[in-house]
Amino acid sequence: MSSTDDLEPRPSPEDRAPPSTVRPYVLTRGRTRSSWHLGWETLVSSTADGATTATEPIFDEELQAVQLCAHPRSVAEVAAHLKIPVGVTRVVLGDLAERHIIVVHDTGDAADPEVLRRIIRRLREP
Amino acid sequence: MRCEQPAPLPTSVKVVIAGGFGVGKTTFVAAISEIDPLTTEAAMTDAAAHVDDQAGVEAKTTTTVALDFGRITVDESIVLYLFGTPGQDRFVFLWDELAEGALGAIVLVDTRRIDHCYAAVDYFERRGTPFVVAVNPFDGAECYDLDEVREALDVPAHVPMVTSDARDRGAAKAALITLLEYLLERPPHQVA
Repeated sequence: MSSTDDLEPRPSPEDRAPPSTVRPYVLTRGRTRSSWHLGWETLVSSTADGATTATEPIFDEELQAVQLCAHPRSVAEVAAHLKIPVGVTRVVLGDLAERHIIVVHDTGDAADPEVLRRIIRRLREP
Repeated sequence: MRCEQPAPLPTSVKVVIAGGFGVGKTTFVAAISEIDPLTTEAAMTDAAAHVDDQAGVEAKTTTTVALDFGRITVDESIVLYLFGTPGQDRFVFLWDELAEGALGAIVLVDTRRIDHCYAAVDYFERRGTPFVVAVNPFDGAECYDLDEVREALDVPAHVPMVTSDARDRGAAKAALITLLEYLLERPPHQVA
């Protein structure tokens, strides 16, 4: 098996992420929680209004998040692309949602059989 | 001023891919994801923030853990994410976040190290998260009968077990379909 599986924890992510210009929790203005429910899989997307609002001076990472979310992206995807931890990403996205720059999508209903059937159909496609 | 939404916003669901260190979780995700698996990090402090006795601990002690995930766009309204759990037991704190709201889980088993997936099996059983077991045959590993593996893991008879090969797209898809069909067949009261 490849040694890339289950990466060992590292003291710092510097070996693969360029150093951010600001420390992660500066981005969140010191907060560690968001008032929005943002799971790792929760989709967010930029609103039409947000695309223009986002030209206001905001952190680079916030701007990048807005641009990234021109198409729906999960919280985990935004975190991966921005190379910031998921916890920080949540707070950043929560802020953007608060300002109506992005919209937080509902999570799919895990108990809905129709959802399960549609996934099965998709997986059975060649 | 706001335009009407032309269609409902897509929603997302997730499945957790668990198992011991080095069992092939990332390989499994890569086999069926439509994107190259992405890696994201969670800081230990993300979870430790709620723990009272951590309150005075300096942020310098932050440890990060990386985990890989993939995506399958099901149709215009559903996106499925596959999250590999961090392999080591000491990152179980992250599993709650990953398991919350998940459709279910696939526990990958390496027959050379069956004990390495005990933590995952225990965790999902305790949490009531439905799961299936996918036994990954490794080259050179002794062949096990699925019933022997079931016995070794002590999983109930209703939990599906399949032989899967994390490197093979078709086999990985089949394991995922096994989970989804299991979810459909379960009596409603069993829904976690």
